[in-house]
Parts: sequence; C-alpha cells; structure tokens
Amino acid sequence: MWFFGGHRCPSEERLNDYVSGRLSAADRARLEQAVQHCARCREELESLQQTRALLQALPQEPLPRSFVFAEAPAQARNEVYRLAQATGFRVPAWVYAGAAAAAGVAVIALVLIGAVGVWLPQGGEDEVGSLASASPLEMAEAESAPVSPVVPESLLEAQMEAEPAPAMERSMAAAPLSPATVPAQLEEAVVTEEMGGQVVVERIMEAEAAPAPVAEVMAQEAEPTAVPEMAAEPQVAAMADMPPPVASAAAQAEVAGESEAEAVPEMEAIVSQAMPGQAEVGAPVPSVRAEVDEVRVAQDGMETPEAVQESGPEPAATGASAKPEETGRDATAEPAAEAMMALAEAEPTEPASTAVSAGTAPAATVAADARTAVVPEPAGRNEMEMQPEPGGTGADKVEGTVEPTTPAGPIGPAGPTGAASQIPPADVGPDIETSARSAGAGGWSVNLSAAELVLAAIFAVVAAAAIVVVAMILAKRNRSGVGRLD
Amino acid sequence: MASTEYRLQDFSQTCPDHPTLPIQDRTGASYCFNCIVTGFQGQAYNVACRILNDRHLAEDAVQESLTSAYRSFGQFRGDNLRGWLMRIVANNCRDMLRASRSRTSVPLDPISTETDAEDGALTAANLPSDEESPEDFAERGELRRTIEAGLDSLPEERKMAIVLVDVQGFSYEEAATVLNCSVGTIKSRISRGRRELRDFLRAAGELLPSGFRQE
Repeated sequence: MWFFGGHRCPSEERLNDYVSGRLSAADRARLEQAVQHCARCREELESLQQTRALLQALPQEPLPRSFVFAEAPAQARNEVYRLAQATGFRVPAWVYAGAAAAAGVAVIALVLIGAVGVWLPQGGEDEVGSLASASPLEMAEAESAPVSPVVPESLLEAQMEAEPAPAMERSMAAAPLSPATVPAQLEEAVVTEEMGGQVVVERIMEAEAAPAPVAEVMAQEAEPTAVPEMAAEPQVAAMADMPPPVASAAAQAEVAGESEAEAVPEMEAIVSQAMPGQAEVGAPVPSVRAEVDEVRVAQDGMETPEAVQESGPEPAATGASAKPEETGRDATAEPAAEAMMALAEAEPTEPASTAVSAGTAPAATVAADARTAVVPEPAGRNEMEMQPEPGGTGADKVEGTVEPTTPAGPIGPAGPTGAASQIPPADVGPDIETSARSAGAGGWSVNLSAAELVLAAIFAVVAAAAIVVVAMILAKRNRSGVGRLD
Repeated sequence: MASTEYRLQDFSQTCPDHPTLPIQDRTGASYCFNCIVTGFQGQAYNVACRILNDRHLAEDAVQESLTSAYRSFGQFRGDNLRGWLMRIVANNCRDMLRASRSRTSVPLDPISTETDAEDGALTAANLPSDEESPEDFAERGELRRTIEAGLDSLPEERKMAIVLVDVQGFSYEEAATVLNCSVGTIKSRISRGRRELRDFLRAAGELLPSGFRQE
C-alpha cells in the first residue's frame, strides 16, 4: 500500500504480523511511526487488534468429561496393520498408481482378447474368407435389402440363351394341365422367371409400384402355360425381355412377401382370365399364400422355432398345387426352417443332389440350391429339379426358387439357374453361410470391423486412464494428510 | 509443552492419578498415555469445539482422536507432542466438517451461555462477575455468539488457522505443523481470515460493545 504523504504504508500482512507480535522491535517502531501519519492505516490496525482481542476473549469451553482411558483401547484391527502402524510403514503412492496401471492394462487386454476372439472365425479357411469379406455394415445392408442381384444381367441373358431351361420343359411335360394345376403353372412361370435370372426378380420388386400392368402381363403369361406343347424357352426369352412390370403377381408375393394381399386378387384375376368357369380357380390361392408364408418363415430364419416344432416333416405338402388345402402355414414353415438347418450342416463341396436326396421337404432342396449357388454344381441342379415329388413337380421348383429370395442378404445366384454355376465364388455373398452357421451350428460368429476394434481399444484406454486418475487422486489424498493420523 | 513431561522413567512405571497406560513412541521412549490425555484433552476439546461449533461433535472428535493417537503412537517421533496430537484432532475435525456438510443438521445444543444457564451448568467463563451488570452479561453472550457466527462464516482452512493462532494461541510454526502447510500459508490464511472476520463484525456493529462500535 502506497501513501501519497511521502512514506510507504504498511501492508495488511505486515499489520497482521504486528498484531500477532511477530515483528522485531525495530520493525514495530517503524510501523507505529508510519501508522501515525496515516489515519486509514491506523484505523486498519485498530480494527485488526480489536478482532484479535475478541477472538482471544472467547472463553474456554469446559470439558464435558474426562477422556482418560480406563483401559487400553482396542488395538489395531489386525496384526499386519498394527505392525505397519508401529513401524511407520506406509504404502507408497507409486504402488497405487502401479496397481491402477496394471488394472488398466488388464482391462485393455481383456477387451482386445475378447474382440479378437469374437472376430476370429470358427470355421475353415473358406469361412475365414467369407467372414472377413463381409463387414457388419455390409451384412446390415444386406439384411435390409430385399434382394440384390449379383449376377450381371448380360451374363444371365447369355446363360439363358445357352441353356433353354430344360427343367422347365420337363416339368411342363410331366405335369399335365388341369384346372387344379393352373396356379402351379403360374408358379412355374415364376420359376421360369427365376431361371431367367435375378434380373427378373429385381424387376419384380420394381413392379410392386405398378400393380395394374402386372395383371395384364400375367394374363398374357398364363395363356402359354395352358398349352402343354409350348416350349419354355420362348417363354423364358419373353420373360427375360419383359419390362419390369412383367413380374407376376405370384412372384411378387413370393419375393416381396409383404404384398400378398395385393397379389392374391391379382392371381385370382389372372386365373379367371386363363381358366374361365373353373370352380377350382380359387383353391390354389392358399398355396400361393402358403408359399409366401414360407418365404416369411425363411425370412425369419431361426426366429420362429415354434414353427418347426408345430409340425413334423411333411413331404406331401410339397405338392402345393395338387393339394393346396394341405399346405398350411405351419406345414410350409417347418421345411423352411429345416432348409436352414440343412444348409448349415451341408458340406461346401457337397452336390446339391445329396442334399435333395437327404431332405424330404422341398425347402431342403432350397437349401441345396443355396449351396449350389455357393459351389456351382450344374449336375446337382438338374438332378434336383428333376427330383419328382408326389403331388406335383412344379411346387418344389417353385419353392426352390423361393429360398433365394429370403432375406439372407446379397444372395448371389437365385436358385437353380445355370447362371449360378458360372458365378465365381468370390461374387457370391457369404451371408448364406454365415447366417446358416450362426443359426444351425449355434456358433458365435459375430464380426467386428477394424473400426469397432479401434473403438473398443479407445474405450479400454479411456477406462484405464480413468482408473489411473482415480488412483492418483487417492494417492494424493493419502499424501495430503487428509484422514491420516499424523 | 514438551513431550518429556509425559515420559516414564520405565515402561513399568505407574502413575498415581490415573490408570497407567504405558506406550512407546517411534524412538522407543515410554510414555503414559493417560498423562498425555490429561495434559491435552482440554485444549483438544476447545479446538474441536471452535472448529466444529458443536459440543457433541467435538466430544466425539476428541475421543476418536485420542483413540487414534493411542493406536498410532508408534509413529510419533518424540519432538512436538502437542502439534502431533492437535494434528490428529484437526484432521478428525476436518473429516467431520466435510461429513456434516453433506448432511446438514442443526445442533440441538449450540454453544451458548443461555443453554448453559438452562442446563444449570454455568461455568466460570460464563458466570457473571460481581461487577458485571445483567446488561453487560447479556451483551457479552451476544458478542460471543456473533464471533462464533463470524468464525463459522470463514472458509474451513482459514477458520482452523484463526482458531489455532488467535483463539488457542498457537504460534505460526506450530499451526503450520498442525495444518500440514507452510508458515507463509498460515500467514496468508490468518491475514485473510482476520479481515473477513473484521468485516463480519463490522456488518454486525450493533452487537459490538461500545468500545468496538464505529462512530
């Protein structure tokens, strides 16, 4: 504090030292002389002296009782603590910090080990490749997408030209036309579309927005099916060249699975146009619905295990077109679930015919188709498609074409097509195998991308840093004497 | 107060006034712990009372501090017994202050002359002298409550420094030992504490005696 009178005013601390009696005699005299020339300093000094006098005037509180120990108080909690107290031993702060750091490293190691353990596939090299090639983001997109064609359109067209769908011809010849089998013929037309390639399936999806031309085209499409002598090849070619609205209502229902309400009336309209006056026109509609249900079950995958338990294997249900009343929701759901199981247990190089012969349900053939899609096997495809089923050959093929439309993700080939055999395995989405293994074998196959690993590592580092900070705070608290005895 | 006053000639030596409680410090010197308790319990209790402003809490603090001192007497180096003991008391009071801050409570028996009069426990410090009129006695009690309120208004560390130095008469160095800080820190705390307390008393100038009232 500076004063304008030419001398220096004492600071507040110096005044306090004067009040506390901590100044020497010379300093005391100098300060008293300075205070006399400054009324403000004098007043300040007096107020401090009065305050201290008031504090010193506080009376001493009497003891409520004597604190003398009648006996020795209980000793330390244990021998180690007592020994530590007696020797003055104190745990150094670095011990706490080291323990915290070790805990942090352990946390990081656990997180990383857990992440790597999850990330590593549980199968062979093929599975390693398939799992490594599919990131979770891709899998999520694949699950959300209804169907994404993998096969190039040009490739499919070329394949169709080279292979005129003999299975279709055989099935058409083996199944004589009758009013009851008209829906089956319609479904076979869908099969033809499927055989034509994924492009048609994609167009089916696109055609959902325009249902009106679908009925018209289906009417045109249903007419050739009424003539058994008509070959399937022109039909396939016509189907391949059709614009997107060409997609049939049945296929629309099968593929989309959600538009069955619109598809069924369309089917009825188609059948009524194709077979006027037939009383059984409406009967096959449930079969189409059953197929849609099967698609849904296949979409649900293993999420509907009760569907599997509700009914046993029912090969007769494969004749959906012959006995549409027998194909209920549960009857078709169970084979679809079995298809997933069969797909999970099938060897990658196993021919599709093996799976077909092993499985009695038509969905098993679907699984074989999926396997065939991964491992091209034209012979197996033909054998599978020629596999006769009591009650109608068209139904199993219809169902065989349904499975690739299940939301298994970016399924490459769409069922028993010749184009599938030419698709390189690298182009085939790995999700069929992945989902099958996770569902059927019960394995824990969760993919973690590099970004997720980095996030896990960051989380672990942050957690370790937090632990270290807390330990340092505790150590500082220990050093600061808070809570200490001395 | 030198710690040698409480030393025993021999560990087996007995005290005539109280049960002997022999104990050894870090250097191996023997003490009678009850002698130490007798010598410091009054000051420890007053320090705890001024810091906590609660008699019951102060009693608990002193009891706990003495028990802790007995258990940890092996760490005492034998130099400053009062500083070592008051440090334990101050730490316990600090812990109790922080604990009581989390659970606010109003003491049922505040430190006041009126309470003493109601309980019939008037002490020599509170008894009115023969020359003191009833008005002066009431004024003194009011002044005391004002000062205690002013002490309570101070921050924890400044309050402890003021109590140790100005109320209990500890030196700066001893207060620094008790509070585990430097002498400069004690000086700063004392200076700021006095100024804040002076401002508080000035704000309550009506309660001050005529000699301390501002004109």
